[in-house]
Amino acid sequence: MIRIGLSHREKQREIDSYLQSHDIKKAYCFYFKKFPVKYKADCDIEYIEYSDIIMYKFFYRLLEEIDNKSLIILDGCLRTQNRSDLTYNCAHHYLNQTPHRMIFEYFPMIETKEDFMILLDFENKGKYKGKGFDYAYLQMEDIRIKPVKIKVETVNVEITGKDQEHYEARKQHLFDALGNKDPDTVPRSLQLFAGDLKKKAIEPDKLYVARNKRFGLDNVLTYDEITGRGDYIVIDTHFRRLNFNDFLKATGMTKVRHLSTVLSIDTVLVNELMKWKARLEAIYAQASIYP
Amino acid sequence: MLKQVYIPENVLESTRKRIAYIFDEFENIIVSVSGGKDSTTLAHLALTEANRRRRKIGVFFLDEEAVYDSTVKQVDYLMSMFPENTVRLWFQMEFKLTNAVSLTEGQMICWEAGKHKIWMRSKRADSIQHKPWDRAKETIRDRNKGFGFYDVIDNFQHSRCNTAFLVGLRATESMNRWRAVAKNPGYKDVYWCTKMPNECAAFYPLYDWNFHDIWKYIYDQKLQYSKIYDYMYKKGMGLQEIRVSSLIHEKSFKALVELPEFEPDTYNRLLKRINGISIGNLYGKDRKMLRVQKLPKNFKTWLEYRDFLLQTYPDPGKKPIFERRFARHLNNNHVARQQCRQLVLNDYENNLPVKNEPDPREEIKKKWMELL
Repeated sequence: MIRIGLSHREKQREIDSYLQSHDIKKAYCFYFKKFPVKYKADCDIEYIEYSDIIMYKFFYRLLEEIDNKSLIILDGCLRTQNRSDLTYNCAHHYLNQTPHRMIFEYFPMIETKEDFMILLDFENKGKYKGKGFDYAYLQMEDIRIKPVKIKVETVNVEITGKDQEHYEARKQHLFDALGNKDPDTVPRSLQLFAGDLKKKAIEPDKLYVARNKRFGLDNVLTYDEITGRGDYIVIDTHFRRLNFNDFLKATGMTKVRHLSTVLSIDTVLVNELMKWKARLEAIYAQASIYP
Repeated sequence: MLKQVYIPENVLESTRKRIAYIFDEFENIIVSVSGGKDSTTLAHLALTEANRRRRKIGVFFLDEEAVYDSTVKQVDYLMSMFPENTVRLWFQMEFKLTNAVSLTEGQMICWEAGKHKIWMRSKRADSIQHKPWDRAKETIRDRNKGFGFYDVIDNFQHSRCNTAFLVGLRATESMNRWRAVAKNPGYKDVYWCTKMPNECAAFYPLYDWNFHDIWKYIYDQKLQYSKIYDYMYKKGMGLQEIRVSSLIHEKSFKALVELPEFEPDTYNRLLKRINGISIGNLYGKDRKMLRVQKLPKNFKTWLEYRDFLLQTYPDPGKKPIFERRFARHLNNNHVARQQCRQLVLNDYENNLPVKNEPDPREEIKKKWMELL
């Protein structure tokens, strides 16, 4: 079964119900290190960090142990968009050995709807191997989704004409001096430049998130520092979508307030976020809703 | 993406049937071994079948001299598993091998006559030390290089008739290589083989095995395997990184970084044997040096670095090979980086082919220029 967007309590309820109706000897819970979990169960549960499952010390032991009386819980293991990824393939070897699988995830995708195929592969690899995403699949398996509807709101930050001139000059310089550097470094550098112009809009009684500690303010945290729930205003979005999704999951935020200037980099980043939100909602619209 | 289709039969059962088929069809069978995990599995499967049928098969090993001691021990073990069913074909003869870590000594002449005092080890009494084929018919793939590793194999194979050569090639290791060898049926309607002259064929009975199938077989059969795998595992190297091969050619020189730790005596002997070993040890995994992933600071572009390397290439005999090859390539930084790698690693044989394509960075740069 695949369950998306559930809280810890709801996941616990799903596990309880599954264990009651099936003869399970032992459960194996694979989790992502940033989001460790603990569940109560009548049977023994072994917790293994997802990236560790490729290690010999787990791999051969688990291949020997996992049988049709084992339950595998994959909690937050959608960590790649690559369907040939080594860790993901190791997980398949375990999943192939038991019909009992519970797949929990916060969002149904990382960046695009194709990422959902990773979850479907976890559920039934033989059936979906090599196939692309189709909305019809959402109805063909035991999939329930509790939508996490994200709202994006921009908070305008005024900048001067001189700031705009500096920005244009900086942009030109970055392209001219690109040399052998990765072209993706240009928007990242411009984002930092634009972020610096937002300092004047930072209010002391509110919490903010930025890419680094450059502001030197106690109420501006980095993505790595945020591990629990809270309401943060975004100065710089994280340039890796997966990390930004982790931030939304950790904080429980459903409303993203983004400090925005009129500079092109902010327009591009907000547009990217809006497109991601639209793709997410397209999946929600066609999936069965978790009661 | 590699697509695997599962059928009700497991790979071990299928392979046993494949090997039985080869035994039914061929009187002469030779299994090639390298001392690695795949050839260990294949040799054991083939020898088990030979033992069951009370037949003898050849076990072929081309000794490159510059190999791990553990490899030598492993091959010796394989050849001693079923002595009554094994014909030992341990080749220790002179041939040339690319030395990727030295531009002044770009080739190692394995078992070079007159250098027996610095050979990695003495030749074995039971090895084949002279060419067992007709010298008049001897072939050489590349005259520039001289008589090399593949020439020994080619000439040995061509000297045999009605023989099945068993090779531990697996499709998951390299799909391109697999596609090349299994394009057409090589023998009757068998696709997992390649046709060869004199009614011979090379068979790949392990073609559909995965990495873990190999290790499961070794574990289940309690087979001995090269100690290098354990050392690499203890060192925390990734599953894909863990492999045993030669120590100095353009695809394996990275092994020199860990060699002093794994086998200090082998490293010590190799230092005395051939130039460049210390460079390989120090810079084998260095992004700026032998991996050629990062541009050295004193060059602005890969094109500039490529021109410098070509201009200062020390071997006048090999330089025109690179010049001719590069003249056919596109002139951009993406291609130039790969050309630099060939020059640094002395890859005149083109074993690390250059992807001759437009620079993907240009597309990304264009996208950002339009958006921003």
